[in-house]
Amino acid sequence: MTDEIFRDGFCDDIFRSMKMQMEPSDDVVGSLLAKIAAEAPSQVTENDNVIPFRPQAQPEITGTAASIAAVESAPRKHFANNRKKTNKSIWYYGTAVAASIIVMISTFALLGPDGDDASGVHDLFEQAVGPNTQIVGIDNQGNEDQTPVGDDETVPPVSGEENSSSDETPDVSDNEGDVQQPEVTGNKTDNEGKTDTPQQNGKSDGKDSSNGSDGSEPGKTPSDKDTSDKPAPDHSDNGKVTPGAEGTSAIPWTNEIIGTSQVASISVSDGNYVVDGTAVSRSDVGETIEVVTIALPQTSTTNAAEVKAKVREVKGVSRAAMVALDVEGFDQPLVYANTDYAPSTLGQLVSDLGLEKKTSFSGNVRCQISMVGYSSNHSYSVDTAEAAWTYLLNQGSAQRAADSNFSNGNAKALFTSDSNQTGSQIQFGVSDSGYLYVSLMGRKHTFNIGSENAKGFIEYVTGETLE
Amino acid sequence: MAETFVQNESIETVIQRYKGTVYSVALSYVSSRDDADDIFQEVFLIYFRTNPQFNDEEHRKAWLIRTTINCSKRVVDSTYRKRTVPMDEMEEESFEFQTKEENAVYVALQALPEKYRTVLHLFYFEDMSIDMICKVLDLKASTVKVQLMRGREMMKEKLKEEGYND
Repeated sequence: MTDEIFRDGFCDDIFRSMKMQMEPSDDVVGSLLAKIAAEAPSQVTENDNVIPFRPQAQPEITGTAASIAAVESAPRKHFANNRKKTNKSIWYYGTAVAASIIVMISTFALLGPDGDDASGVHDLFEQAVGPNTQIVGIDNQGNEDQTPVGDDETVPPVSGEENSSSDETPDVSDNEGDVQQPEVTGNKTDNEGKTDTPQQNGKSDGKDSSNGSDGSEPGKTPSDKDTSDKPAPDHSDNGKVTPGAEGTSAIPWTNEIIGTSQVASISVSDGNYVVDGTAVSRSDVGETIEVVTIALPQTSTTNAAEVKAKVREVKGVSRAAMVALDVEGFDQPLVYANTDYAPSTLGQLVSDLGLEKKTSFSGNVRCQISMVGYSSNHSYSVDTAEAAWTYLLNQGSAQRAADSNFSNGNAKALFTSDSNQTGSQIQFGVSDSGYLYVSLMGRKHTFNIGSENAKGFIEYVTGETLE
Repeated sequence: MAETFVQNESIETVIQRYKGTVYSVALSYVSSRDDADDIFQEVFLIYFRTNPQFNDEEHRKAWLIRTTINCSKRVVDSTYRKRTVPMDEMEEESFEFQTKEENAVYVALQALPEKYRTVLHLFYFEDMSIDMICKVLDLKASTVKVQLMRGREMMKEKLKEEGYND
């Protein structure tokens, strides 16, 4: 085996098999997509080059699909980039033109007395402020501006190759990589083919988007992309279904669909809500709060469609905390959490989430003890429900506090509730500094329950007395 | 048919395409599912926040791998300095493959010094050419070749120690 392992045939098999197993779970991917969706609104205000993230109430959302369409072909892409940068920096153009004129006048002043004719200056002017030159200047600058590099060393620079190439060949087409394209395409095809094949084979449930996103998008023409944004579904795609279409059975939610901006968040009268990928059965949702229309984009498994959706209450849970979205054509309602939900007391949180009704906790409590220079983790099997209700959740008057307080303690106990009214996992943390931390669908709430209660809980769990 | 490079590819598509690459590179450094999960999410969040621009798909892949390596190194360093985890929990978290041979290869690979492990991983698991590895790791081609050769030899030795003889 030791010699065979690096021979082509053998190593291909074993390494490919290992690679296929080294994939993140759907939960991790779904959680990532939810985080991205939750971050999107603030990103839009800071950078106009990110995925637009708007509440679904808009009739049509250009979003990701539109940006893909804009850059699908090289000429269109270049135009789109330039147009985007034009919107971004009007002052830049003014400065560039003013600088060009100053340079031209200076040159004229130098060359004029020597008797050069006006055509030389005219040529210079053409070169300085002509349309081609202008585009090149903006493009190069724009690339530098639009290539944000992290403030730490984690993020590698991405613009080095672009800048070097554009410096050497100041031509409009240089960034498109006309010279590099054949070489790049060859390498890329090899790498993509080898890398993606195992991933595609590894998807057994057929829900995942990797097949479609790799396989269908590159073959599309820009005109295909334009039509994909419209609600009218395109039935020519192989195996794709149209949500809500007559004769189509209910579709299960996939991470790809949930990750689209149209689904990831909704805006209803009580505020903005974001999804975390949790679906509940229809028997767990209550009355309809309002009906909205969602323009679903095309995905690898579904066609674009405009569907009706009912925003409904989750039974036993306050609509101020979360709602469910029952979308036409899908098999289960999705749960959404209010981004602005901030209960003032622990009692309000317990009441809003319906924790008193039917909540079960994990049988194990994990304790993290921090010492100078290191920390250790241990798991304890206890009656978590009794401990939680005795020391923590009955402190209804405990006031909301800043999240940072939780991390001040040296001992922390962590446990979860996997079954409760919300349908989502709720994580609890207790710090010996006196704070209870509750995390639900990515939303964190910290309450000051007092160090006596917190220590009491930790001592109950660990069986050891804290100092 | 050659695949069209899309500069502003949707984040969902990028995640689907490179989730295995990012996750496996992270796993080659940290050996723990939990840490690899964190790194996987961190890398794509950085990608989303910084919205880097690329020349081509290969450039994008190189960026993601480089970022994953940087994140992984930071986690490894902090883990080494600040955290001690009991052995029973280490066993719970560590990655397990389906077959004994695969586990043996993985353990042997993890036992290598970082520089050899990284080169071997990129070459064999990510199917990257030596030129591409040079770009990602900022090394000379001769260095990469030497590290590949020595890494292979060291892995063979490790496997022999584990009882996998010729």
